[in-house]
Amino acid sequence: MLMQALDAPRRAPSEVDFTLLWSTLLLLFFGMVMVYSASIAIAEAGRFTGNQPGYFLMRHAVFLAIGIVAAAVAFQVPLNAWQQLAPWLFVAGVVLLVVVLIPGIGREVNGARRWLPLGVANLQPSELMKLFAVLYAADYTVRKMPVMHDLKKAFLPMAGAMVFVGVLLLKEPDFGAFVVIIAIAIGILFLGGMRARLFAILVVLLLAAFAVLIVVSPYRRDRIFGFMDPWTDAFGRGYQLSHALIAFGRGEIFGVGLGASVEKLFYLPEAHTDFLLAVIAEELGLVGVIAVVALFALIVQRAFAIGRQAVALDRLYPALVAMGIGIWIGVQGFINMGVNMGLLPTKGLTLPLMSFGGSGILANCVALAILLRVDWENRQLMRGAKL
Amino acid sequence: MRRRHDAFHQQDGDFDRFRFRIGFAAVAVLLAFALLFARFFWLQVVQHDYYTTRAEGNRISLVPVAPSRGVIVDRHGTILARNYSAFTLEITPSRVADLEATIDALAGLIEIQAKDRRRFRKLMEESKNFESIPIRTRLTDREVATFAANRFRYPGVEVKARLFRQYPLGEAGSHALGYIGRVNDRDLATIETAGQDANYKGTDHFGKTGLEQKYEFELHGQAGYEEVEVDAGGRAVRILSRTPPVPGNDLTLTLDAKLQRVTEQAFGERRGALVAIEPATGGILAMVSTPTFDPNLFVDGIRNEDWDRLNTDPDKPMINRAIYSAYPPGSTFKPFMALAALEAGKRTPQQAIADPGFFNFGGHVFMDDKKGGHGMVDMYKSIVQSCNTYYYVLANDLGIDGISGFMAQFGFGQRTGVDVEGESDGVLPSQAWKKRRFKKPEQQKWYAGETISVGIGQGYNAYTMMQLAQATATLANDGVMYRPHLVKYITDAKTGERRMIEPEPLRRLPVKQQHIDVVKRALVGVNKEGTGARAFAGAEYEAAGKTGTAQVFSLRGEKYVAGKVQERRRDHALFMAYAPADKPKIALAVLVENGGFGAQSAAPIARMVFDYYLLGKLPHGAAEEDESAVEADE
Repeated sequence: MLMQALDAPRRAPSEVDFTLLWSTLLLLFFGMVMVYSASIAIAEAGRFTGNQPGYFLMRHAVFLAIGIVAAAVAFQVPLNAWQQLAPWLFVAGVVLLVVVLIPGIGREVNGARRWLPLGVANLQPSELMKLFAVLYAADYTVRKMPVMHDLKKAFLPMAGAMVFVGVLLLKEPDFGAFVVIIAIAIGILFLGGMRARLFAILVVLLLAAFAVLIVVSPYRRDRIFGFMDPWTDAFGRGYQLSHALIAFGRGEIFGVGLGASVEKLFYLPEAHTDFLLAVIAEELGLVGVIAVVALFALIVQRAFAIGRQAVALDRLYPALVAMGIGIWIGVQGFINMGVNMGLLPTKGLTLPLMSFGGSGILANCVALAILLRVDWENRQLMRGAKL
Repeated sequence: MRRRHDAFHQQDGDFDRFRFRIGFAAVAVLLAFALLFARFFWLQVVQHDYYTTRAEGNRISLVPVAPSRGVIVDRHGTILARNYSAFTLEITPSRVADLEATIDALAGLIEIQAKDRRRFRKLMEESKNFESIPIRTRLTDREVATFAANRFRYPGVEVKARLFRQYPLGEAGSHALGYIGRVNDRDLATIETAGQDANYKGTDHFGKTGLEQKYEFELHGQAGYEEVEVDAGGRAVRILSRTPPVPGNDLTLTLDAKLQRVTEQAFGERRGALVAIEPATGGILAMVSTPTFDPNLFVDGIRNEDWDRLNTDPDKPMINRAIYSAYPPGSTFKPFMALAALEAGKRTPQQAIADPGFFNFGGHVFMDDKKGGHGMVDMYKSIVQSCNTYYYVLANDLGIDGISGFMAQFGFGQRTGVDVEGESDGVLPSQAWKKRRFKKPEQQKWYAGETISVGIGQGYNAYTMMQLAQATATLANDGVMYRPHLVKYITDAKTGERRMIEPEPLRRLPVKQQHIDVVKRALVGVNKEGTGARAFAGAEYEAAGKTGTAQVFSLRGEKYVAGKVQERRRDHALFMAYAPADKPKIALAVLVENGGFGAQSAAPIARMVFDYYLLGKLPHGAAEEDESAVEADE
């Protein structure tokens, strides 16, 4: 259907949201170029890559192809079907998160047990869980709508489920995914009509807990504020960040030119995953970074616009799913960029749609396809067509 | 669906609230992106100058400063491993267009031999392209000056001061000390697992064996770093800030370097192992494995010919015979057997057997060591004269599991936990062990006949000298067992504080003191009137000991005549001993490979060790000049 839509714009010029579609495709392909640029040096030097400079590029291209095919398939699935599947997908996601923790099955890299080896590639359940969390939280909120004002009936079961998932994620550990999923859950509950007072209390509580942690233990304080001045420990915890900041500083307005980054040459670890933005900043400067931020802002804006449209059409579940996806892409993008710029402590989150990583790309592509589907269904309904 | 939507609509103003909330979220998103944008602008435009510094093309580079490695000294402060600073001529391959031409040109200024080129090429394969790699080490002052005058002609080539590891005593104690070598992939994995990545950024050497390996993270220290401004050529223009490194912690060993040397010399050209322990603490006084090797060869990358020589040498100098090689204990097993008999109530000290010179077990005849037998033999005599028949009968009475159960308490067949890697388990035979060891059912069964030879320390028995020394020390210490260790204390480089490696009593064996005294008396007898008497004739102290001979090859039917058997098939000679007998200060186990009878070749080594350790007497002829060499190194 996606391909058809692309092929036949004349017949139905506005069957899909082209702004959203092109923003997404642009980010995906721009991401591929930057992954290549950022990884070429380490791929060539690494023994495990067989010294092929295109090692990460090839992989990323394959992931992208798989992601786009999966997106085309996901686009065919009506939101009703997603809603019915949602609880089962959530359970499947939890099972995968449990399985990944079993020693011998889950693969450990750099002290984190986040991957399930599947022969040719590794699956990262926490990435899929983000998508499942959106689908499930929206379904849950719709079901509990009549009792949304009731703390015990509406809020606590969800909080329980999220704490359980959170514990599994922190065991891996994958703190970044934890933050994103909590943000998705709270965001959808909030949009779905959770009491404003409860929401405010929750936010205050989280902030207070954070503050207490900082005040009580000085070592944590160092860790949390370490990101603000990475130079004090430039070879320890501040190492990545120091080099990310040098990359930003070197970039200036137009950057040093595509491919010319120095920081990616072994100085900046994880240049093609978590710190891709730093390489973009160095090579393409403020202009490149603003383009990326603008595209992300556009995607988030479209997600909320599509959500609003769905609400206007009385389609509550699709609306919450659309906005949930917006929250996900927005929060993860914001945290990743914040980390890259030394605005937030290092988390280990990738830049959605752009960073290297198969599971992430797959989950992002499917999510965007669902978003496009919500929009497509909106348009069909507005034309009076039946779903 | 229908019902839910109704519910949604029933609540008045819900739709408005929904819209309000979307607006609220939109504002939050807007704020977040605004924040990002502001930070971008700050970093990339406002602070641009800070990061790019003043001149075009200049950049800040963080240069790690490797800490200097901790020093290792023996119990008297003799330096065993230290660092010295030397100038090296180094090339950064990524900054040199034509490597060969550059090296050829440099060879015109400074002597560069074929082996230097070979090492450079080897290191280059192991290193990243942007690292600087030494082409010549240990430059003289003249060479440094010559290059400095011509430096401008060779971009990418620099003289650097590097710290080198040095083992002043050369081959002495090299198996205990170990050595360091360049960091390889396996070391990197170790560093990563230990979470030390950042700390090792500037480090290119890593402990490979021995104490250097075991105490790597103590010895290494904390890396420092410099924030430097470099020019377009990558040379440091000036240092903007500096965090000095913290040097590694120093190790002080229980080892006595002079004793170690004397012992190694006592072995001469012979292969073997010796472990000497202070019974009251478990501190190792000497840990010898001969032949030894020179750890200095490994420090800046071992040359291929040295490596081949060490590895193809039939004497296998790289093997740590003291803890890795397991040998049958021969008759040194007998004192422990006697103790087992007393504890199990199978023998009293006075109970004597008649020894006809053989033991007939179900038609199979086990020969005694003495033709015609020893006559009436009680426990004392059985140890002093090392009577085999006594122990054949005893082994049969105790049974294999009775023997293994008792011996396990002394640590036989288990790693001692000494603080260097590479220990073997050895073999303490039992029925369960045989079941594990073999696959076929007929091999898995334990035959009673096999117990007989276990009783005299032959058969499946195999123990390391570390285990035998620990067992001997435990006996000398009246049954209190300590974990043997080489490090006495670690001196913290920052605070100067000493962290003692406390003597770690593993257990007190549940053995009666009167039984231990019986065995100990017999062991004194060995050196007075028994098999050790000749080696200890005229000793100024009372030493307890037991000789042993371990068969390497069984000769069916033939009579064993040492001279006729090929050298490599001769028996191993063993000796276990401690002294002074009443208040033991040193306990040891020694083995000479293919040395023949224990009394002939192993016991005299023990005598020399005791003479030196207790009286300070050097074996005659044992090289006064070596003594002065040790002195000079201090």
